[in-house]
Amino acid sequence: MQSKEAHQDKVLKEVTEQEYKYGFSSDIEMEQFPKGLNEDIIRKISAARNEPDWVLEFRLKSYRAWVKMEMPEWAHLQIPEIDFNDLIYYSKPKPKKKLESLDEVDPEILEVYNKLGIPLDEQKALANVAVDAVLDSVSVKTTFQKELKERGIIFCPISDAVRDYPELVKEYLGSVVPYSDNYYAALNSAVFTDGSFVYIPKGVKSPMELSSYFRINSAGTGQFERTLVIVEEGGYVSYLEGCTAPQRDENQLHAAVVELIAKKDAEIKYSTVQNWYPGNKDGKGGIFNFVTKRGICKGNHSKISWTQVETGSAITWKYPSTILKGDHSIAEFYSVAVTNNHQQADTGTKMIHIGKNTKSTIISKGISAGKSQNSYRGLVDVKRSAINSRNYSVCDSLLMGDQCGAHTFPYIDVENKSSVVEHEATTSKISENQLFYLQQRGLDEESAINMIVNGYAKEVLNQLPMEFAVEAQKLLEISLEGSVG
Amino acid sequence: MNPILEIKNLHAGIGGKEILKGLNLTVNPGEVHAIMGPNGTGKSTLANIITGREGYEVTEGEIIFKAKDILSLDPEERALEGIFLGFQYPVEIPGVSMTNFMKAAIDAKRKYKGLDPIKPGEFLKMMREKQALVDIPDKIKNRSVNEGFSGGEKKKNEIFQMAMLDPDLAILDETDSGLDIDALRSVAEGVNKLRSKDNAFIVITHYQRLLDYIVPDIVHIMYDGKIVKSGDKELALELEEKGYKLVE
Amino acid sequence: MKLQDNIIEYINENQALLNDSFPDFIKDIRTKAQQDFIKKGFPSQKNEKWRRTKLKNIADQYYHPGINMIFDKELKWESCVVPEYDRAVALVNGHYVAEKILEVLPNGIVIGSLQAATEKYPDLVKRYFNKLVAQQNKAFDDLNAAMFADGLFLYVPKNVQGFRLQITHRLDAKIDALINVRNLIILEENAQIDMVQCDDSNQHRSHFVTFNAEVFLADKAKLNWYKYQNINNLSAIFSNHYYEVGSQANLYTNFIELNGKTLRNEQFAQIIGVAAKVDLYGLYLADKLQQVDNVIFVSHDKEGSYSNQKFKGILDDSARGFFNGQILVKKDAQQTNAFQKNDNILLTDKARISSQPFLEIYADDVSCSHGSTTGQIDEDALFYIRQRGISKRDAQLLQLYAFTGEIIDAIKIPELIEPTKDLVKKRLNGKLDVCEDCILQCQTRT
Repeated sequence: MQSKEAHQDKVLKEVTEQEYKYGFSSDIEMEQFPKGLNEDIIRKISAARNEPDWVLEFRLKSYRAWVKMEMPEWAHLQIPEIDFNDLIYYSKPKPKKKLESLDEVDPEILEVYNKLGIPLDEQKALANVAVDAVLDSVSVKTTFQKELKERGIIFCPISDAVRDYPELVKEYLGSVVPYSDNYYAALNSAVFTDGSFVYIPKGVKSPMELSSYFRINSAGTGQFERTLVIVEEGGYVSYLEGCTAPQRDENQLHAAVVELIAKKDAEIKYSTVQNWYPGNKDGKGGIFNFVTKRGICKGNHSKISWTQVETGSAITWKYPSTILKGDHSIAEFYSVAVTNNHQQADTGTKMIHIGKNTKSTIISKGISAGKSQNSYRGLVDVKRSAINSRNYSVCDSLLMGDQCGAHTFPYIDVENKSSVVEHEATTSKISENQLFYLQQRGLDEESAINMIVNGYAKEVLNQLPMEFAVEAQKLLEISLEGSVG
Repeated sequence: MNPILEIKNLHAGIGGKEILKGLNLTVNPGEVHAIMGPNGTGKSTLANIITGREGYEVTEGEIIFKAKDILSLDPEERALEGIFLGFQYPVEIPGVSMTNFMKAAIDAKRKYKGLDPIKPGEFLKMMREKQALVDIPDKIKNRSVNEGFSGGEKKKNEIFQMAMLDPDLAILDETDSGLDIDALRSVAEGVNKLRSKDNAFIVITHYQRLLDYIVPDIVHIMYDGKIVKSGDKELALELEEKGYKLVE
Repeated sequence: MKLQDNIIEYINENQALLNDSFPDFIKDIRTKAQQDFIKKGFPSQKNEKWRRTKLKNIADQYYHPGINMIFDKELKWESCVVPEYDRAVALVNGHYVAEKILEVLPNGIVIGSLQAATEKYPDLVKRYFNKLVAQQNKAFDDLNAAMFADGLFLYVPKNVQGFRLQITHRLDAKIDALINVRNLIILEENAQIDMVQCDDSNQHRSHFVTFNAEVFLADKAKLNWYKYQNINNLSAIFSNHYYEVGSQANLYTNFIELNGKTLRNEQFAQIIGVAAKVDLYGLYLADKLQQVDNVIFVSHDKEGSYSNQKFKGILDDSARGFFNGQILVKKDAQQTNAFQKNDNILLTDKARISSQPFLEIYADDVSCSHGSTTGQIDEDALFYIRQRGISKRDAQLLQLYAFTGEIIDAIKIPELIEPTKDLVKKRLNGKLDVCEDCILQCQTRT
């Protein structure tokens, strides 16, 4: 019988040599701007997109703020120096002609999505998902626009929204994440190129899941998408976001901003399966994922749920947050973050309680393997006005192997006497007892670990819509195959 | 003879929802009343309102205890006036020993009557006497209130506290729930020993079996926030047999 | 930054007074600290560990910076009569005050003034002094090193056990004063002592104190350190405690933080050996405008050790609390068991708590957990108690008192438990004033 250590080494080796299955780059003709960032480039981006003046102003204002800011250093991350002038800030597939229907989308682009297993075609109707696909910086196709439009739902690239619904965009863009919020938000505000726009009118519940797929394709580009979701009184939407990027040796930058606005009695469910290229087993390449996501429960009895399954990126810096402004509003954050090899993640949430009787729940499950570092960082801030508020947080970490790190950094501020805030966390490796129990029932170690990890993450995976849950589960398995602690 | 408790046309609820809808009840000294009724009918609400639990709104009616309107009194003032509630779910209070707790309660009562705190010797003697009455182990004295007690011990502890505080009116809220037959018997025995011509009991229960041991003078059936039928102990047997169809 | 400027001016003008009474190796450390303080000053509000602490009300005030540099011959050694103690010493305005400035007890323990020890035992002091501080260099370490005049020196030889020391740390200046105290405590292998320290104040003057202690626990050494902080509400004490914990050594601290404008206790325990045990307890009861901070760091460097942090606090009025607790488990520290819990009760809407229980873990075969709760008194229990005839106020007090039980019950010296309970009860009742009910029951006071 082979020794336990030898076996562990073997499976660890298997894991570390696991190929990134989405790592291919597509040969699509791209229109690109030269490298570098300055006011000229910003003007060019704006002009290329035929933007109105107020958008250009917003960009320039953001750029001027960004120049004066410094990269945040408080996260538990080793971020190599990034030369922001060595990046391409605009990259767009060259359309051969204006697209009228799905049939006219460049077959190679369609092929990209097919490889990714993202059916962009009408088959998806059965799955009831409307898809906005963003390749590098630009939306290539949004499906089901017509069906949605009949109910007054707007789901389109944000560039179209700027053109077609300027008042809406003008009112809400930067209202939840101000351009000056942080370094990466300012950068995004200056150079954002595309992303999705969702508007749900009063009383309308979206009949289907809305979904975006983001993919970074070209070398040396940064992707800076901007997502804005507005749900009017009593409305509901479930929005899904998936991300992949091809395998490249150099690091690529992704700095998105997502803003959610939930009015009275409105509900937004925002789910992410993030699988950007994490770099190879030696830590070469991979995406830097520096994302600012924030929602506001603006009206009373509104609700925002964030669910994320984070398996990709070389470095993740991401804290989907909710401002609970309306009385009785509810916020949830469910997260599974897996890091392997040399990945680093510093992710978590912020729950800012302002309204009365507000309630937030945080369930975070971290899994670290290889030589990775995985940190939960979360803020629960209960303001004096937020009387009778509740927060319950559980942040667990699982360690696989003795080369990785798992860290928990909760910040809890409470300023009134009627609120109750509870935080608990544990860190451990996979229980030998559980493992043995399953093996005794005849499961091999791989399957046993998969089963345990899936069980560990179940509370979060259960929050995902069905199609995503299956994909997420698969991703977990791929990321951790054989990682025995 | 003045009644101990008189409830007239009581309307009350919680969070804007009316639960008691015009309840009337008169309890005289020496009487044991049983209140029966299905879940959610307002039995525990009634107990909470008589004892002054915060969070309930009384919208109409009055509660007269020993010729005094008690609706504006705090829970402790009502307790000191002589109302005792045996809780359905006795609360665990970690860190507060039973001895300290009972001493504080006895002294609060003595102070209310203008007496000095009880002497330690006298207090310990009293503890021993009352413990014997409900057959409760000696070790509980040093334990925290209800912490780590079994279901039966918790309920016995309620009766023990009742014995210590010697109330004029004791309300026992589902004291029988979760008790095996031995515990039930010893709880009932404790109650029977404490019955006198001067005090009164309201026993809230789902089941007739408790009433085999604590024989009531009057049985009320409560339904939808009101007492819909009253009678002697035979009513409980009839209810057991026919169920709540009897009143629906 | 009035205070900072005053201190800098004082340092520049009083080089001889500050430095000449120390041997060269201390002088070097000191002059470097002076330069560093002049360069860095007080911690900025941007510093994560200081963001939630009101420093301004100290930094903007005037404290005489040189008061503890001048030895006041009037200072009396006050004997505190607590039975069962082997020795009682006092630190008054930063000076070691006792009949003998430095003595060797029959069992070999050396106890006395740190300043005197630097002259008499330079080699011993040199081996340990500033070793732990230099590694960390936390805020106010520079100020302390730059300005301290004296403090406690304690050396416990190998296998000496059962020594119980009482330390009265008293603020007694008749003007508003800056006081810096430096302590060095060395426990050799298998040594064991108890220390009971009381921080108190005699004058209703404002004092700003930095209290630094470096503590070395060799293999199998055991230290139990109890501290009661009860100073006037004009004064602030910032205490930095550094512990080096050897194999199978046992460190236990229990700090009861009662009164003072600002009380900050930083404890940094580095477990350099295997199979050691570290228990850190704290109870903070604050009201009015008080600020109470506990910043805890336990570093597990080697395998098989246990650590537990347990801090509980009750905040009334506009009081603020800050808890930052960190467990670091290094790569080699397999089979670590480390726990951390912070529980708080807020009694008003103006009270504030900031709780940051951190875990940083680089080893996989560990069992670590932490928790933090903030809430109020349990309403069900409150009603239950009131239903037994106990007034609302008393019912609340009973529960608050019960909340403190977990920390008090952890006291290992039986004679200390009842007095501590009394002290906490009185504090919760608002009846505890400065020193009046000092647990140490000092009988002769000047």
